[in-house]
Amino acid sequence: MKKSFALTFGLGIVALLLAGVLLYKFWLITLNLVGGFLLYVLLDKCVDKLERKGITGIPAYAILGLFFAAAVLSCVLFVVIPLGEQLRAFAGQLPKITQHLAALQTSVPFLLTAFDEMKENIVVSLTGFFSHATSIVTSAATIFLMAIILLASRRTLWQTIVEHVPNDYFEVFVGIAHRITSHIQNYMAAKSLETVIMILLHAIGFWLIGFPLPLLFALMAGLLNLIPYIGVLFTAIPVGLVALTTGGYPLLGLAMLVLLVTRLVDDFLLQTWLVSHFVDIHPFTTVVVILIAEAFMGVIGMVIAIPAYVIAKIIITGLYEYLRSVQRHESILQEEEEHKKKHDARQHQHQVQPDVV
Amino acid sequence: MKDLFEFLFEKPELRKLTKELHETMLFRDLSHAELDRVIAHAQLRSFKKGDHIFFEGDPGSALYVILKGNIQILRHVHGKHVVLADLSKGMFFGELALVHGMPRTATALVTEDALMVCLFRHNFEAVIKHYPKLGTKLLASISRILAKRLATTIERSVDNKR
Repeated sequence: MKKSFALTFGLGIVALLLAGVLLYKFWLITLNLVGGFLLYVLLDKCVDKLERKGITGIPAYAILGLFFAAAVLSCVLFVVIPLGEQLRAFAGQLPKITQHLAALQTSVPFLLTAFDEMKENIVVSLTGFFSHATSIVTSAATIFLMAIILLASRRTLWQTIVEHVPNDYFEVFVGIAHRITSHIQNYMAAKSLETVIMILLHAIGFWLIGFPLPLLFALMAGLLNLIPYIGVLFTAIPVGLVALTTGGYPLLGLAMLVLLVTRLVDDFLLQTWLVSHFVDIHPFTTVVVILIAEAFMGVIGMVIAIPAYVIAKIIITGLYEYLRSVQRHESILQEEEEHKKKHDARQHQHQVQPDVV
Repeated sequence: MKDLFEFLFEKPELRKLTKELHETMLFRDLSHAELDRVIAHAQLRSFKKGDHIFFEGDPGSALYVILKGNIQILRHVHGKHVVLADLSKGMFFGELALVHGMPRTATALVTEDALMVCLFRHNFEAVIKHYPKLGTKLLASISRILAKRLATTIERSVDNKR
């Protein structure tokens, strides 16, 4: 390995690290940009599917717009309103639950403390949520607008970006960009499908065992499942407490059984067949990456750790491949140049020799 | 309104080149609708004289169709290059990158300012997956031209041995 190659590669890695630090430093902007890009990637896949069915141009975008409006309306009608009702019902049950817990306190004292902590956490989270409501709405609007702008100019924007890439980098750049976008598209599609299946499984399970507010808890369980390893614990604590206070030990046992079954389905079916198909990482690396991400960015870090790691890996291997190619090109051209010089010198000698003779 | 739509959603440069694309060896047998589908997956690229499009040994991932200009295909042997072919308007090269993922077998050098359409392997695979009929037509065209090139190479090799 030539020193210059190692130096260039090292500088490339340092530049990538600096970019990473910059993105981390301005994480709110990064989050908006990444969110907008991720939403665009998902919508782009939908437009692609429509185009493949022969629906192109304005009709494709109109269908997507209608579908999006229908999804938002369905979400409000079938999720937000019932969830609101269930939350109201839950709030109504709180005094009863507290009473049950007070009764249980003598036998299991830690339960009341745990429930108090949970209540405090919920209050803190809700207060935090409403105090940041303006920035959350602004971020949501920014993400949506960014995704729409990217989608609307998907062809010309890509063409414009690629046009500015020098010819030497062209093939490598397109290759890396494709690997990143296709990975994100597949990963997001697989994760979305996994989350929807998990919400449905939890909802069916909770409904079958007569668990109170099945939709609310199923939605919570499905979304918390996005957090690797500890997501299930975040679900188990409130579910366990509610089961214990509303249905006693039999319901607690059944609720834990539902969580266990859904966990097994996720681990042995969904993760194995769906998600791992798109993420080829050693389990040990997965654990290390998630722990590092958690140390820097907490729960958000844990959620985005794997796709971020895969993207970084694609960029670094792409940079390595590209620099190796550049090194090889230079040596080929240098060899050719030297050969040409020798050839010219020989020809010159041939021309000069007769005069000397 | 139509102009705005074209600006936002279409690839105007490539759409304007439909006639030129239809005259190329690879896209000759395609209908207008089929060509439109390929265009949606392709990219237009211009190169200056003296540019290397790729070097032998590079990881190959795209096929190039020449719309304008001249390209020389060559191999580097012991410090000098041997010209294998001179390609011009309507011809294509780099097709092996679409068929297999092996490194480039030769270098492509621009000998006259060129305008080319690039079709990447992932785009080509998408075309085959989603439009099997169109994919079959493209593969048939590539196979036919590869067979012709192989026949020429065999003839040349026999001539050299004589």
